[in-house]
Amino acid sequence: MKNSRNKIPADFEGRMERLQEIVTALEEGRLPLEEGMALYKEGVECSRLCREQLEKARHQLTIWQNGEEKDLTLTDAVSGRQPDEEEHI
Amino acid sequence: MSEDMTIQSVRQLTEQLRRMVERHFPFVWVRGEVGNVSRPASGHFYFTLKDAEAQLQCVWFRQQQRQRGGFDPLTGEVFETPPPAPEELLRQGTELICAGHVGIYAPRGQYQLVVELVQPAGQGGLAQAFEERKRRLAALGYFAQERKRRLPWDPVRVALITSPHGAAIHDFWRLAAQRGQAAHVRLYPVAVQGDGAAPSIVRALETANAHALRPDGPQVIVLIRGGGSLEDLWAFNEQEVAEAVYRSRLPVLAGIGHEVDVTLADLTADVRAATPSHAAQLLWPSRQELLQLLDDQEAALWRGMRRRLERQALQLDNLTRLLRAHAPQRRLERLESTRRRLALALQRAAREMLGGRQRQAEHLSRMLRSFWNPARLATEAREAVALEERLRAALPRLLSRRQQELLWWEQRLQAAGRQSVSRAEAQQERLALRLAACDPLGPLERGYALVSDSRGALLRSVRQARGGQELHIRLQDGALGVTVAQIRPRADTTATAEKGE
Repeated sequence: MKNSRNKIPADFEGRMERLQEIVTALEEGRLPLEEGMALYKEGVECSRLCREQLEKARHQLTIWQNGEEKDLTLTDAVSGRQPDEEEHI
Repeated sequence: MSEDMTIQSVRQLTEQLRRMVERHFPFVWVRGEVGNVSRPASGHFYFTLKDAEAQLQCVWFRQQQRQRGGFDPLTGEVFETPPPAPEELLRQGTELICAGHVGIYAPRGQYQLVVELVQPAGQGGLAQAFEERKRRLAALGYFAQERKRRLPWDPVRVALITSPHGAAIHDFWRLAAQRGQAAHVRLYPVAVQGDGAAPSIVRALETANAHALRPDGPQVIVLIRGGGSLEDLWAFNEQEVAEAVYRSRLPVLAGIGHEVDVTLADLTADVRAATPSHAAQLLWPSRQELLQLLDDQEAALWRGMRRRLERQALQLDNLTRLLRAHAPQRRLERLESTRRRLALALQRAAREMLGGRQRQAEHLSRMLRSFWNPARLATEAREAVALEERLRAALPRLLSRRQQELLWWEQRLQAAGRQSVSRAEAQQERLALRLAACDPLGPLERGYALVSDSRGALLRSVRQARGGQELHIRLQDGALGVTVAQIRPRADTTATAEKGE
């Protein structure tokens, strides 16, 4: 495992994987101290970024219609109460 | 036939008809509308099935009414809900499908259907079509467990196929908001009910699969719809929909209707959720879980680091101690203490060596004294003189005693010699007497004679002699030559021969 602080993955899943890798490497404990320290810092950073990502996480909803994508907002107003909704539950 | 000629009783004819009818209609399905229902105390049901043109008397015996528990006796299908009670089925005017055999009830002279199974005819159409399709698709391997794929973990690009209106998308979205990392959910709007529903669902499945090839394309398809009647959910039982799900390259998660509803699309999907909300739960891990996972990882990170630091601190301590132990000052101190120890040992050894020599000398002189003692030598010389005197005095005594002994033995020898001569003479005399007594010629002096033949052999029996034989008789003082004149053996046969004795 290389000391690669600058290469923390951008996606949540990649970061989680990286974090897992780092934990495993530290638990094995065969690395030189400095490399271990660097990994530890990277792990803490990964964890912090993941946490932020989770806390800010909002799903984005879009609708594909007529060959193009548009944003869609669900409101209670559209929850099946409209008069033209005879076919949906 | 002979029976043409005979007159039969009513009973006989009815019996023949009964046998004939029962042989021809051992099991039939009949569809019709229920009427004239009655249920006397026996618990049997009597009713008619009718349509516009005809009616059929039916009897449903109490023993047959159990409907055999929670499964279809014909298809083996297990019902999720128990079958309705008989009284609910037999409502005036409902359409039923009844199965059983046709029999003849002799007391009334009427034919009737002896019912074994009753099914409502109204739902029967769809339910039968569903079962039939289900069997067909199952045979094609649509529901095979081994072709089910796993959903991607915590997906970030999701294709949602449902109606943009209605409860399903709201239920799904509400649950989704608390789960997973930020994901992009793209809705492919479809009609979920009515004639156009099935084709629109098939199109949406195809479009989503086509989009999957793009970099921002979906990783998984979610197909959901709220609850409804079998008719409401029918689009999801259409074969084209099941086929589109089956063909999908992306894994499909289906949550259609309520928990009790099962559609063919559900069965074909890779993962089946009970409801739309459940679909969101199955699709994403909850954020709480993810945060907990992060907590765990952070703790592990810290643990791993601390353990490694502690280990290295310990190692550092050890090395420092070693280093100090090898400093020049310590080395000098250690050498000095070694020197002192050795010097002490040397002194001790020297002392011990000297003391040992002295003790040895004393011992030897003691031994010498014990061997070389003048007083003892004088005593021994005196003893030697005394012994010599005793020896000189003893010799003459010994000589005179030996001479006496010699004399005594001489006298005994002479006496013994004399005695033994006289004893031998006496014995010789005894033996001479015994010898004389044994002389064979001795008896001749007393008048006995010896008779022998011409060859000198002695005769002991008259049988040894022959008439006219020359014999020789020896007496004490000479011999006679005789001839045998007569032989007279003794009467008792053991006598000796007569020889002129």
